[in-house]
Amino acid sequence: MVDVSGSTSSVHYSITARPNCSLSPAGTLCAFCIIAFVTLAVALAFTLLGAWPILPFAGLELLILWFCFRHIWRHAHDYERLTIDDHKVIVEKHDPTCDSHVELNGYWAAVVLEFMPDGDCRRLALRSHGKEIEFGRLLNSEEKLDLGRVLQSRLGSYPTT
Amino acid sequence: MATTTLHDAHHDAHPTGVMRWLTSTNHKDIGTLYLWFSFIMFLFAGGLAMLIRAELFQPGLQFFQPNLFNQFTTMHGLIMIFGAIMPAFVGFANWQIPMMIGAPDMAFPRLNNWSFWLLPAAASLLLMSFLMPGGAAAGGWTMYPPLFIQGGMSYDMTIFAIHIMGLSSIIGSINIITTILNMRTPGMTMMKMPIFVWTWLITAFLLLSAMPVLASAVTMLLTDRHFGTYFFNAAGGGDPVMFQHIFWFFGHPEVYIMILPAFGILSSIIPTFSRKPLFGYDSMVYATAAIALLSFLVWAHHMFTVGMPAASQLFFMYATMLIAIPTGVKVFNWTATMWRGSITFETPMLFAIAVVCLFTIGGFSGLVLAIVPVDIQLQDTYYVVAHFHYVLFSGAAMSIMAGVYYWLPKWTGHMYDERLGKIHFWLTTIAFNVTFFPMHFIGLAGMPRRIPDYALQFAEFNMLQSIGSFVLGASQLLFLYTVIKCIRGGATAGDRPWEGADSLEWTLTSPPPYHSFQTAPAFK
Amino acid sequence: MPCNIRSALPTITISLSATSAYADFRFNLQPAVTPIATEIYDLHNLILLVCLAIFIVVFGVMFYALYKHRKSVGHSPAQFSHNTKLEVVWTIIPFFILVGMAYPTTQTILRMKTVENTDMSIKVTGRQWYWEYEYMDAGVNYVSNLATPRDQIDNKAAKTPHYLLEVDQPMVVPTGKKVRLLLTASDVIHSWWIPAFGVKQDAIPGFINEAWFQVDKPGIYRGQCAELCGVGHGFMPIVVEAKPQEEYDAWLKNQKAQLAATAEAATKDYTLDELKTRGETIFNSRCAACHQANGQGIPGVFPPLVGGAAFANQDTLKRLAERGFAKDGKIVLGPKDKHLDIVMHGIPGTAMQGLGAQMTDLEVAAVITYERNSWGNKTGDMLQPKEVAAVRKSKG
Repeated sequence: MVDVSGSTSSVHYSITARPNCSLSPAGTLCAFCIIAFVTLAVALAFTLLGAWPILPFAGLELLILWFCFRHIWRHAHDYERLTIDDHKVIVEKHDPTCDSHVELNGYWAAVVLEFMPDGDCRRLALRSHGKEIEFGRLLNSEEKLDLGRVLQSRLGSYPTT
Repeated sequence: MATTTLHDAHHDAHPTGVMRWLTSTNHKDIGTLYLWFSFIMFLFAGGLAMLIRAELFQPGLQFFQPNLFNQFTTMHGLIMIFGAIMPAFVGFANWQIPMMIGAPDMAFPRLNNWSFWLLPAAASLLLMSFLMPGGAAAGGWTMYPPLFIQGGMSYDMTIFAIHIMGLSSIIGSINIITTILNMRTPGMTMMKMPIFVWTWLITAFLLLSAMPVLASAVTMLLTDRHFGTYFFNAAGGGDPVMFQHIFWFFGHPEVYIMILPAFGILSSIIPTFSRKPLFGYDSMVYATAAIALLSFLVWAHHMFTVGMPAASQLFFMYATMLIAIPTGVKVFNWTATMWRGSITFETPMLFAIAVVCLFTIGGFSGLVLAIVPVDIQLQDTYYVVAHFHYVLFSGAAMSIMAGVYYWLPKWTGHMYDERLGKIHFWLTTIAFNVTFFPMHFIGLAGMPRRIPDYALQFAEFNMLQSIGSFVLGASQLLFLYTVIKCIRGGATAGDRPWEGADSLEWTLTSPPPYHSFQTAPAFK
Repeated sequence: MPCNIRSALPTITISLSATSAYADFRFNLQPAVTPIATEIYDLHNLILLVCLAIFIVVFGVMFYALYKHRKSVGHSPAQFSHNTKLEVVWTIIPFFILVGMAYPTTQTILRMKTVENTDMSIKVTGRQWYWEYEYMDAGVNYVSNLATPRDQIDNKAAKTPHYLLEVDQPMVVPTGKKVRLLLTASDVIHSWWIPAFGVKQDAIPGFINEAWFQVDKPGIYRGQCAELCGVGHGFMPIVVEAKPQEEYDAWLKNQKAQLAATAEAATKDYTLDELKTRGETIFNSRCAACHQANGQGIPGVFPPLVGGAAFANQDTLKRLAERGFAKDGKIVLGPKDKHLDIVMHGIPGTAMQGLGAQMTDLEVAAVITYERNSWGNKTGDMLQPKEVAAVRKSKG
């Protein structure tokens, strides 16, 4: 999912990319609780009847489910935002392990696009003063290309490696 | 779709050859793997059925001794259920669910790869067990102790195979649940999902609830066999009937695990070829959920003869009879979908109509079997064999065939050979009925199941059934040929080869791009 | 059928001619001879008819649509997709049909489960692979084995009418009496089933199940084990002979006399040939299902009794070795007392069960003597019933 505010030509331009999540964190919790409730109820009932080996299996299953759901839940709020404000370029990234905020000078920033041999755009980055910041992991090839074109028109050179 | 056309301009990049299949995390590749795996298993277990029918062609022992015969029946059941029917539906889920909900792939592509590659490992354990001293497990697919505790090494291999397949199912189900819940395209609310997606969501939920039960049941068998426990051994204070309770607590949801996705496939095909929206979408969803809930309350109807009190028999009988209501709703809804439609009879539709009719026969014989006193007469007879083949062959397996014909043009970009498809349909349907309908009669007349030799009054029907089964088996080779022919070429299928089809996968090209729906498509 | 094929496939032609002689296209349950079986018969017919009626209505509608609403006749599709009233109706109507079915069924179930005021009790024990009947009030007990000769099963002889449904000693019951069955098993789960009685009850080791029947019509009624119980599952039929009270009493008296004669026979001394002849019959009915009539067993599953034959199951060999009894898979060539021990007490955890409780001293002695002097085993060993009795007394 991509939100764009401001037009290509306006002074302020911002693009935010988020993963498509149709399940809210509350929904995730709810789904997990329903499955856990049923599984544990069954497991406990059989345990009381003497068939205790069901408990470790039910536990193992819920553990796998928990890790999967936690993965989704942790990444539900991920986003990447690129803002061009006058001559500043701000790249913000948010995910569970890191929160970064980098400001570049628009006059010096250059767009870097890397392609696969077959023409897929693999990577989009901004380079300035010898450092590169990747952007658009949540975008597909076409979106990266489109964004690259926009940035090129706003930021000057368009070198391709 | 601007994005897809742009995307097609350059080739997809992924490993080729064997590595493509071994390492693939692409839902389409994995779906293909699942479908081919299940088809190979289907042919193998079908081959075992042919051997069974060859032995039963006449009274007397002609080809196989009872021990080998019991191995055939046991492995036929296990492989058909865990190797053919279930993986086939997971194959459909892999191919279709992401495309139907507008997602780029499954939620956990690497887990998806694992959940498939566990299956060949489990299958080779099962197949290798035939080579062990004493042959494969011969205690019936239901694995009842104490009989199952008597066997040799191959019984342990069977238990491990079931563990592995259970793990595969659990991972697969988690993947499917998270994909459906989390990756729907914006605007596709739960009550706007295609019914196939709904049925798989509920199926995955059933799998998650049932699989730990199965795993624990076979684990207890294993510890009883080798580690001196007495869960099921009466000599040490264990309870053989307890196993049956645990097994069928898994086993009955398992039955619905194998039929709910089939309902989903039918609910995709029938509206398409009736050129009319599905009748009663909401009640279809509720009926599916009701069947799933009831499936946890009816397990003991498999055990009416073990000696349970009248109160239990009555409870399980009433609960079982109730399942007829949501199942009936489904059949009525399909009928109403066809009513005043504009119906054409391409191969998928022919299969779908046959499935509705024949599955209903299986449903009725299920109702007959729910009636405790009648069940007492019919338990463990050929009537039961007829019943579950009407449900699992003409219900599940023929739905899979219908689904394959329905989506093959989408998957391959080629139309299948309609003439061959129709020949396959008629051969299958007629041979199926010749094989299994008389089983109702010999069951009523008193022929027990799982016997290698039988009394003379059953001879005529058995010969007829064997002839039917050979035709049924041979006609599946025609299916194989038709599918391969379609993959290798044929008339070009457009994006939407069926004019009545309207779910999201038909907005993609045929075949769909390797990475489809990289961005969420618009959904009205 | 041309002559050359006939000679090439003698077995198939034999069974073909045998089967066609007893053709029986039965489409419904067997004729009922007990009140419960009659109720079941009627119940099944009722439910079948209801199902048939529903099937015809629903699929009548569907096939009408398939015929009339085809595209090829130019029918254009309607677009309706809901009709709440209709959906409610077709949810409620089946419910009432089901209630209508459940009512008579419930009554039948309650009657089936009422095991009261019985006139006599028979304890039925399922074993791999024959039945044992114990008349609890009369102190008579015996086992009931498949009587069909092996040659018929192997297609070496023409099949007789009651192929696989005949036993050496049927259960005998008096007519008009309410008979209570107490069912259990000694090894794995079996299921005792006589279709004409409407009785099918699992026999489960460690449990005792109840069932009852009352037959009014004298006759011979046949059924089979209905729960997979291993390789002999298809070969453990059940035959019940219902006799008028006087004939039953006479039979019971005769049975008791036979028991006494057996007890006396056990005190005699026998020659090797006498024991071998008796032993062969017993071996073929009791032991041959696993160890095979030629003593070769089934490789990997059932150990051979012949020296130098193929390997046995590793587990079995281990257990045999623990008991000091296996030498390269040559099982019966070990010491005589160990041989007796296995026959009497079985090998726990395998299909080899202890036969001591079900066989008389003479039978045990005869079968062991036969095994040690057949198929190339030439030990010349003999075991007298007295020796068995002595072991029984000392070890139980």
